[in-house]
Amino acid sequence: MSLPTPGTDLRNLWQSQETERTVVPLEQIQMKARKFLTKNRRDAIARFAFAFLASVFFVFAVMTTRRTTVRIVAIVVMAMLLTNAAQRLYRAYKPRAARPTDGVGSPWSSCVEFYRSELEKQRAFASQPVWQMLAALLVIAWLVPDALHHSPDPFRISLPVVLFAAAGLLVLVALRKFQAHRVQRDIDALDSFENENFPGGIDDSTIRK
Amino acid sequence: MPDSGDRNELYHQVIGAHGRAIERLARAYEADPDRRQDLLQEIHLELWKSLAVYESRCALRTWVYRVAHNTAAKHVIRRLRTKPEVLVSLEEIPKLVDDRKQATDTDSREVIKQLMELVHLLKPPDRQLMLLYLEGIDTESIAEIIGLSSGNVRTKIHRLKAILARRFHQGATA
Repeated sequence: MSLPTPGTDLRNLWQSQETERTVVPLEQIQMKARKFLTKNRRDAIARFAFAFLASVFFVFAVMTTRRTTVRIVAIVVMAMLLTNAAQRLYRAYKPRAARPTDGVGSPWSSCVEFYRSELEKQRAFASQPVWQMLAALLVIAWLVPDALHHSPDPFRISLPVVLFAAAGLLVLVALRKFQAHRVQRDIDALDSFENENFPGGIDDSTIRK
Repeated sequence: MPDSGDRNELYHQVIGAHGRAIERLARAYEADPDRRQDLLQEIHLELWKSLAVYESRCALRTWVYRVAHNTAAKHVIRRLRTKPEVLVSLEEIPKLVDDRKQATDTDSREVIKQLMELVHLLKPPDRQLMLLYLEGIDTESIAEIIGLSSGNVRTKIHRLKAILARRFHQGATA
């Protein structure tokens, strides 16, 4: 590669950099697309099968236990597992049309719009609604006295399990909040990136070296 | 909507015209060679899939750059979730990069290496802008690809040129 001399355009230098000229054959791309689809479907089926088996177990727990708290928790978990698995299965098998927001249809929107939608998706995932956290805290508050009542000896199994689950839940909530805060910062930075403008623009000739 | 044969032909046309630019883009988004190959394949896959819905409503080049940048930006977002690192905007670059350490090396590879280091520091929207500028795309097209006004793009390019000129003054000018 030739050495740059003063006045050499950085852009020329950039464009002339050596590349490996990777060519991805069409067959490989088609195969990858098929593999991706198959894997998605397989995962969805496996998840649904797992949710179904877990539900059988939960139904059994609901029918045999006398403790109301265990019944309620089992029913809630079962409902969440089944809904989630069914949604995934539906998404994996429904006929796909190109949408402006997903990967395939992304070129319909500009890069900034796409980046914003991805950040917002991430923020929605990370930030939980207040009712979810309150519900979790209520369940914990309900379980702890119950566990204490049924476990006169604190080293028996139910109390440590409940406390460990509560601590784990609180850590998870804190992590999610931190993640949501970070994503929000990125969205704010994107806002200022979009809004910032010099009135009337800039005369390009004044900045040529 | 192009049929399968047309799509394959279009894909070959895209690779012929923009294959090297796509590879430079992948380099600018992923420094690790193995992950870069994955990203490159992902970009090719997304491109091929996207050509099924390409209806010539915008220039093919705009379309290709959008798919490539969007796929790469998604890759960056995913990576940041598992491995957080601080990315900065063009405005923050001068605070971060010491201008006294100008690129005095006359070796092209060294200049490109330093340019790449600079690119890797940037957040996706600023990185897109810088890469499109380095690819020699005109202001109007950059505005169309990224989704900003031309005035805004000119402002950003003005800043970018100033940063590049300070940093690479002795090796090359922006």
